Amino acid sequence: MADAAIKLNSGHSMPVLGLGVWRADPGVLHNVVLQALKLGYRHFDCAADYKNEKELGVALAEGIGQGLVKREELFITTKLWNSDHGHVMEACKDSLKNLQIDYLDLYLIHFPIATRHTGIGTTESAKDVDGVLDIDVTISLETTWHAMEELVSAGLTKSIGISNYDIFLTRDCLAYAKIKPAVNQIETHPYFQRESLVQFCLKHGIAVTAHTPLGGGAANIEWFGAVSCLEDPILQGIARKYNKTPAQIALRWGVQRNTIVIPKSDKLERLKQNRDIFDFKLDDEDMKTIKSIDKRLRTNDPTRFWNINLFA
Amino acid sequence: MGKGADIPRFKLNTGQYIPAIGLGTWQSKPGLVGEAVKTAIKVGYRHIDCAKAYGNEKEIGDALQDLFREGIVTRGDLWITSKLWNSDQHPDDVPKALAGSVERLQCGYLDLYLMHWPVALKKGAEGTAPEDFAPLDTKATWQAMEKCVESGGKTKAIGISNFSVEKTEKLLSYAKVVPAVNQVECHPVWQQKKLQPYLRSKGIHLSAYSPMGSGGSSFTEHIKVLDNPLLATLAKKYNKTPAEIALRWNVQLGHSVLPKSTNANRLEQNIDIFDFEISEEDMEKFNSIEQVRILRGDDMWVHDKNSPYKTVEELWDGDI
Repeated sequence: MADAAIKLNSGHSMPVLGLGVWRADPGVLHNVVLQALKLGYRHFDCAADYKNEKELGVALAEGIGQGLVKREELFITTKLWNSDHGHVMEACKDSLKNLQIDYLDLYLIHFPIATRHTGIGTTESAKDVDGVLDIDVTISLETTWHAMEELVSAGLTKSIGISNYDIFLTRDCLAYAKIKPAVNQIETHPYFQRESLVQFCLKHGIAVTAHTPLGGGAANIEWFGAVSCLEDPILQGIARKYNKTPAQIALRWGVQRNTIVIPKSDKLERLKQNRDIFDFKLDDEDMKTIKSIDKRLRTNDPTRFWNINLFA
Repeated sequence: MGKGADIPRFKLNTGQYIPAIGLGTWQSKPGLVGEAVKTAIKVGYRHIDCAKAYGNEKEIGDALQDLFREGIVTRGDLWITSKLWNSDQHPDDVPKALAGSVERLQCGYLDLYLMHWPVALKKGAEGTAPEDFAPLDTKATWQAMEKCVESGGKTKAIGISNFSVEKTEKLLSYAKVVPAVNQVECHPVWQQKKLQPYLRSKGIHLSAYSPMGSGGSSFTEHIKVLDNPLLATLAKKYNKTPAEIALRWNVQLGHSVLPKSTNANRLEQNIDIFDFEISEEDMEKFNSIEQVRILRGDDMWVHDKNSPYKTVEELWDGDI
């Protein structure tokens, strides 16, 4: 059941559980990916900015070589970095080369903002003389999107999408898109439910991938001082009721509200746990209870590194 | 597989959790240590204590690779410690030595990297001969260690080993990163009565090496920690072995323990200490055990001319 999937507006199917690889340790990801393949994971969520496309690519090639999986069974996502908005085709080809594949399943615009180009695949967040992120104001998101659309006709990716877009930007994208975005990948979890945004996307046929679906593990606690929903007493109570872990409840809740979840883990035990969310169903009462614990708490905020509050 | 997840962990000042028991690998013979690591992890260990100086990191690394390939555990399930050897204390050599351990251990990164001793040896020194001593500059070495935990470094935490109260205090006077751990000899016959409360007050975790008194070591043949009559009495009372009592005592004080064994039965026995508790009253009884530091280091680190420590008292700042 780890291969439960939904159909995208592009006609392709996308597994609702994926392995996120942001902040995976170099040298360690390789084996994690192989073990994940053995456990039934088929969907891998990467980005040029994670700087581990190559390691993921080597591991997936090895998995295919060992006969663990076929390319056509995999769903591979990667993302266009902010500094490459003016170089979409080259950036996508660079990612494909790193990943050792000839097409992507999904290519996303990582953030709705273009920044100074620093060379293909360098994924810098260059600062201006004032120490603030050097934002490029000469290229519109519409221009970037049309370049994304060309990737589909060129056969470099099956589907294209957006990431970290709010309702305003998503609406605009729908208006100028010749190919509608298949996915909007956003942070959402029990403490940051964003019901309006999720419903808006779903209503217009855009699937929603929940990044940070556990409300931020160590990374967000360490970098952003976030509070994890996994410690929430209500979530823990529900976990006891179903004999599951709070993480499994958070993921199951994500799946039941029709989002796609991409938890990261490098622990075999947790890779198994995160996968085992298809053998139970939260009842309506519990879904409602979880709705009540929303704190509107964004945990992942790169402001700290860019010296500008993009969510202001 | 369930067992590993069940081992209690202690929270470090970095926010990470160190498993309460780890496999010690000092004096584990080449050809045996790889198997010991595999057996240990299969019976539930999740913490391996290594050091460049033990000369067996490559074999441990090969064993880890086998375990990863077989899907017994992934790297993230494990806690791996290694130590900076005394001849690598020059600041330029610290990141290289760390990278060397990571490469031999084939584990991507370390969870914890310790300064092995407050003693410096010349670059490339193989032994511990008097002419091998180098001037000690712990501050420079520690600052290089601190760089290793910055973003992109190959270890998640740093610490010290064999540091007395005075030496730890001095280090704290300039440290920007407080050591997460001080790994020292600790068992019922050398309880670190002075260091224990000090480390606790500073939020530094005590990791106990030779937790059963290093019975197999040539230095200390005459002292048998596990023959202590109190351990025998409590072993009988709790239906455990004296070794299990000694380990449990440390764990109840909040110390992680690093027993070494290459024997499969003993590996299992040593980890079987989480299903009972020594009563408060019995814990008090350990106070009456006569205290002897077994691993004194005098034959290695004390020298009347070349070492910064002219006497064994200086090495331990009188705490012997």
